[in-house]
Order: sequence, then C-alpha cells, then structure tokens
Amino acid sequence: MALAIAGAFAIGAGCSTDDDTDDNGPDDTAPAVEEGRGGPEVADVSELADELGDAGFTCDLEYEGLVDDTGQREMSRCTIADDQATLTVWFDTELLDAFVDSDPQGPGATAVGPNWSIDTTDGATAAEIASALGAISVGE
Amino acid sequence: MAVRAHRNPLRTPLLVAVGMLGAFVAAEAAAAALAPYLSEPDRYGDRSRAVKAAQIEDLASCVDVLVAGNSMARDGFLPEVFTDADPAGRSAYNAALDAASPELTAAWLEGGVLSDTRPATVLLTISSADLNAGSPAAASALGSWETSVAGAPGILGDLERLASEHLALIEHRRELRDPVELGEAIGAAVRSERAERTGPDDMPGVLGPRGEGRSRQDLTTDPDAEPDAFVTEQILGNFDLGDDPSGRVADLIRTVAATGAEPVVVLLPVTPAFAGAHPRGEADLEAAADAARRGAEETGTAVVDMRGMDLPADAFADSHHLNRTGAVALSSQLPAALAEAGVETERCEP
Repeated sequence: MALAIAGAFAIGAGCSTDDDTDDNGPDDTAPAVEEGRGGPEVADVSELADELGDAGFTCDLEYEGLVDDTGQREMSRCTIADDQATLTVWFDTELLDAFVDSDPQGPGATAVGPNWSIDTTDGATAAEIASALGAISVGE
Repeated sequence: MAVRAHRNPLRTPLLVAVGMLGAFVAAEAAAAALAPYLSEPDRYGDRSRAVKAAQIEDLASCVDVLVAGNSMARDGFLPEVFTDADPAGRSAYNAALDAASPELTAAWLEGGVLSDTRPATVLLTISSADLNAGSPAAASALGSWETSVAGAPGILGDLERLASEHLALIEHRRELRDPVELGEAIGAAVRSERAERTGPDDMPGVLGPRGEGRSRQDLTTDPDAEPDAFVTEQILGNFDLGDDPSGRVADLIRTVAATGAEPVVVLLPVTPAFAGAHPRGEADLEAAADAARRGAEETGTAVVDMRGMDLPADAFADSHHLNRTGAVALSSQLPAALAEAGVETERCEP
C-alpha cells in the first residue's frame, strides 16, 4: 500500500528511459559490408556508442550528446583505436541522405548507417567500423 | 424537538489534512527505503560531471591548486605532474569540463566545486573556444547543466536541490513514476541488490583519478592538419566573441575570488591550424587573448601566457588539445611560470 502511495505521490517531468547496455566484448565475426546503409538504427549517440562497444570498438563518449542548433543532429566524440571519431545521430535522415549523395571528399572517411554516421580521420577506421556494423563507408 | 449539536466546521478538512500528511509520510518512508535499489537519478546532466563530483567528494583534503576551463584544460593539465614539478609540492585537481564556457565554469565552480575543494589558487584557462558566444557545443553543455538538478538556476533550482537532498520522493520522482523501474527496484530490494552509483573511477578511458583527461593522451596530430568539422562547426561554429568578452572573464574571476581563492588566468598553446579555423584567423585568437587579459586587468588578476612555451613537435592530439607529451610539458612548466608571474605559493586550508 505504501509503495502504491509512493508511486502516486511521485512528482516528475517524465519517465527516465536510460538503457543499460552491457559491453559484450569484441565481435570476431564482422558482417560483410552491404550495398545499402545497413546496421542498427539508434535513438541517440549513447546507444551508438554501445553498438560500437558490442562490435569490439571502445568508445567512451566525451560529451553526453550535443544537439546542434538546428535540432537536426545529436553529436559526440570519442577516441577509437587512436583516432578521434565524431558520432552523429541524424534526426532528419534526409539530411544524412544528402550528405551521402554529396560524395564527401577530404581527409578521413565516414561510416554511415540508417540514421547515424561516424567520422574518423583515418579512413581505415571508418571502413572497419562500417564493416563491423553492416554499414557503408564514404569519403575514402 | 431535539437540539442538533454543532459540528466543528474544521473537523473534516483537518481529518483530510492529517490523512494526507500521514499518507505522505508513509510514501516518503517507502521511497527512502527503496532509494538504494532505484537507478541513480541524473543529478548533473552529464556523466563526466557526475564522475568529477564523485572524485571531489572522495578527496581526502582540500586542494591547493584547482584548474578550470574547457577540454583544453582538461587534457592539458596533469595534476600529479604539476605536484611533482612544484617546489612546494602543492596538490592539484583538474575540474575542467568539456565545452565549458566561462558561464558554465562559473556555475560549476560555484555549484559546489569551490566549497568542496577549498583551493588556494584557481587556474582559469581562457581561449577563443571558451569565449565563442556562438558555439553550439558550449550552448549545449551549458543547457544540459542548467536543466540538471545540480545546475538549475534561481530560487526554483535551489528549492529543487533542497527538496532532492531531503526527500526521496523528489530525488527519485522519475524512477518512481516508471512502473518497470519500480518493479525492478522492488525485486532488487528483495534480493538485497543495491543499484550502482557513479564512482570516481567510472570513466577510466576518459578521466583520470585527479580529473585529468585521458582519451586524447595517446593521439598525435600534424600541427598543420586542418581541424575537422566537429571543431569548425561545434566548437568554433558561429564564431563571435560577443559584446563583452572581457566582462565574462571578469565575472568568472570574481566568482572564484569571492571564495577567497586566488584566481589566475592561463592562456594555453594551440596549433597554427587552429588559428586558421577562425573566420579572421590569428586576429580572432588575439582578440580572445586580449579579452582574457582585459578581464584579468579589470580584476587585478595575474595572467600566465603559456602560448609560447617550449613544446615538442608531437605535443598535440589535435588542433587545440595537448596529448600526454604536451600535457606533461605544460604541467611541469606551470609552477615556474606561476612563480614568474608573481603568483604566490599558497596552501589551501583543510
């Protein structure tokens, strides 16, 4: 009864939906890179970092998740295999489509999934990530 | 005809009030009993702040020298190297936060860091990245602080913090509203399995034990390599020092000085390529440094300019963060630089 009352009296702005994801360690069976943008669809950069962890890439986020001033993307950074990576979750995937279609050039490369991208300064890192997550790599 | 006795008109409302009070007390007692088994509430809006708060809570004593600023300070200052190089062996802690503007740094320090560390000296690192009023990263970081329990501003923020500290119903209101969370907590309570709480060692790949950054320590960059899109868009994006950058620096300095600690402004080295990422290049870097100096001058604060320091060629992790090599160089040269600037060697008062 007291617990029911506690629940009734609780005051809050909303429910917390943090996910606890275990780090399962390295994945030895990297899937083949598919032609389309395969890989997991994620809700936020924290979940993307967890997916990287499950695939064997250590990625400790520097920032909780910076939503840019357009509100279209959430970004963060981490170091993956001695390479600084920028993780982006795209709330508007049309923008991500446009990015991929633009055939980006320049240093580094980008692993691209259904609604996320991971930029690295080393093209090989992006390719490895893409391969492990079933995504594509652009800009090499 | 029988005379009807008068009923006290306050009887019913009083009974209701007593009943509600009793129910509230019972609910609070239940929430307090369940609290150790509920997920940790997000008090700080950012995991690294929570870890640093845990580290600060764990400090055995006060800290002689505290460093504050953004990720450049987080990565560039190694407390143990500083202590070893300091003739007086002053203790140090790195309280710098990623994407911290002077406003976030001031709020973070004032929100408990200064009172908990009681430093004698506070090194405030200032750069163009700190003072960019248009930085999306800085705005996001400040926003996440101000919407957190620890950082909510104003009287309502104070009330929320007070209530959270004393009432489990308030502290865990989000967890208690989640039926799944509540059920899991009850199960954990039956099994006597307490929920995890953030500890001082919880981000070993990102933060060292004295708050120093670890994630970029092993990275090396070509000093001429152009900064990437994250730097140009999120850190230096919409670059604008605003109307009163020196005033912002002065306000930060006054926040520190109000506690009795001695503030010192420190200017950190960056790569030539970092200058090139600004709209007006080197001129913008100089404008920021000038604002820092004017803010310091306005408040009678010493300035230690480390931008021309001796650094090995491989000192940078990227355009504006020192790696371990660079951080060791900076941290070991700082004691002499402070002395040269007339900053007295003071000890904190335990």
